[in-house]
Amino acid sequence: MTDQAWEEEKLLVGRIRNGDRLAFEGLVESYRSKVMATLYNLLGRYQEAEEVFWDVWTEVWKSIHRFKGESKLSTWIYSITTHVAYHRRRSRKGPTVSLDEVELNLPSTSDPEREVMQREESRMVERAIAKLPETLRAPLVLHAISGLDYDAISEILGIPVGALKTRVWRAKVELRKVLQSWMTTEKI
Amino acid sequence: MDDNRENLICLDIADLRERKMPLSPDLHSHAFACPDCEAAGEVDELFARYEPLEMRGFTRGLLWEKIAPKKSFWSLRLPSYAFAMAMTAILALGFLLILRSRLETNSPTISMPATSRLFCFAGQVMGAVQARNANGAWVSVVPHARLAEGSDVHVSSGGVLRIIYPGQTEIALIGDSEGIIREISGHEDQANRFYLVRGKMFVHHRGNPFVAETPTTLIEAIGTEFSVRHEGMKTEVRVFHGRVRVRSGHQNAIMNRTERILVVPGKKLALARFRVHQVEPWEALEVRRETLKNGRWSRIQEPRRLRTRPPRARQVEPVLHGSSELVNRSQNYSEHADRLRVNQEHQIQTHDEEVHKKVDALIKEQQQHDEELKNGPTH
Repeated sequence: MTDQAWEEEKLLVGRIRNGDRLAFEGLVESYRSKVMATLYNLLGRYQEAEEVFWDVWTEVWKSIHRFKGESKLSTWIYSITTHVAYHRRRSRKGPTVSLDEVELNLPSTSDPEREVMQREESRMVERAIAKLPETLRAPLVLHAISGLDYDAISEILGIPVGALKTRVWRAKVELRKVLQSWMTTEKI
Repeated sequence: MDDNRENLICLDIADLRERKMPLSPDLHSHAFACPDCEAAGEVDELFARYEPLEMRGFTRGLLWEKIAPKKSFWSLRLPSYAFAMAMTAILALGFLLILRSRLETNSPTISMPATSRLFCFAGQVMGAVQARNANGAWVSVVPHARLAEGSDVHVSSGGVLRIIYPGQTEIALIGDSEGIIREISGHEDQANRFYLVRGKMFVHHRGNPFVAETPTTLIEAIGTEFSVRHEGMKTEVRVFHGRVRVRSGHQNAIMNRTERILVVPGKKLALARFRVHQVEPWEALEVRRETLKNGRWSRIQEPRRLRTRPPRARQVEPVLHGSSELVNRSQNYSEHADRLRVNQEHQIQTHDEEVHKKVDALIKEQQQHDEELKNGPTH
């Protein structure tokens, strides 16, 4: 992180602390897609992800004064996201709408065919991630979808960087196996 | 061992790919041959094409509605204790307002309310003691009778009536005296009041504030024992213990122990000293629980024979309702009252000679004071 980016982040946090709603809206705007994707992949259920999405930002708004700037703002936000998702998983009650049943509105592109292909591929990846064990899923989601580096994930999950790298690699291999099995089945 | 080495190579390749660094020929050949490395590479490509979900219906308005909703007054979740305290305060305020309005509506004159919930009790009764009921008829007072607020009481010559107020303040009307139980306190901050129309009274103050009144003087007890005597327009106050505040017109004086004051309308308050043991009626009657020995007050055991507690009333006790109305609701009342009177007379008869002497001395003292009052104050 460059000094300039660091200063900008510090300024943004200061404005939000002073109750600047526009600054907070800007922050939400820049993170909301990735936060939603992280929640969706960690929880595996769209409806739940949508519900806890607001919890994440409520927590960010209320706790911004506790952010000391020792880590990056993104690390702090994804830390809240992960903990909210874990808390939700622990307190799950009853059946909820699974991600298979949800129609997702993706931004339309100029190439409808490519759009459909990408959407199907992305949803397939999500379904495959949902099949991964919990120990592999969170590191992979935070690394591949949230885009966090290993140090930040290590800070959030409390796992050493070396072990984390191994888990992410193993998750990728497992993910490939799951996708491979589905493709084989479809061919059959 | 080989597997671990293979894994380490795969991890190195994955690391280099993530950092977008070129692979060495060895690593390149391994990545080409290793199915896991190939799988990881394919997944990396998938994630590169991955499009995160676009959240449905996200608007800034919805954001603030979810994060910081505007709360209406009624939807505020007040802590339960704060709500309880507020409700208690409101109720207390309402109660105070009602109480105040009731106090304000009380007539300032000496009235005899038809009904009263507050009573004081007749303690020791010696000689002829009567109270006036609502019909204006005088009826005898017996020990343990309930005397309501506004009751007129009359003690004939040589008689004594002890009245015990709530809060344990005791007064004794001595000799030819008449007074009105003006106010009986229902609260510890409210004063008990006795209006001495004429004669002499002794006050042993405890608990609730006590105010004795005569037509010309107001005597406020400050943790004390004192006597008040009112004849004609003159009021004499003697303090046996503690202090009292005397107010007459614009004059105001605080009296200490063994001081006496004579209040004569139109004259300055005249303070003087007196010897306690000569005049203290309470001690002479041996009803007080302290005595002055060598200049100090000490607690004494009350002689058993002088305890004026009558046998406990098993029937309905006589009640002096409201304006001294003696309500005889029980057919057994007259028998009970007779029995109490007999008991009282018997008590007086069996009084030992020493007490009789003291009573005689007290009467003589009173006569002297009568003369003194007629002749004016002495210093």
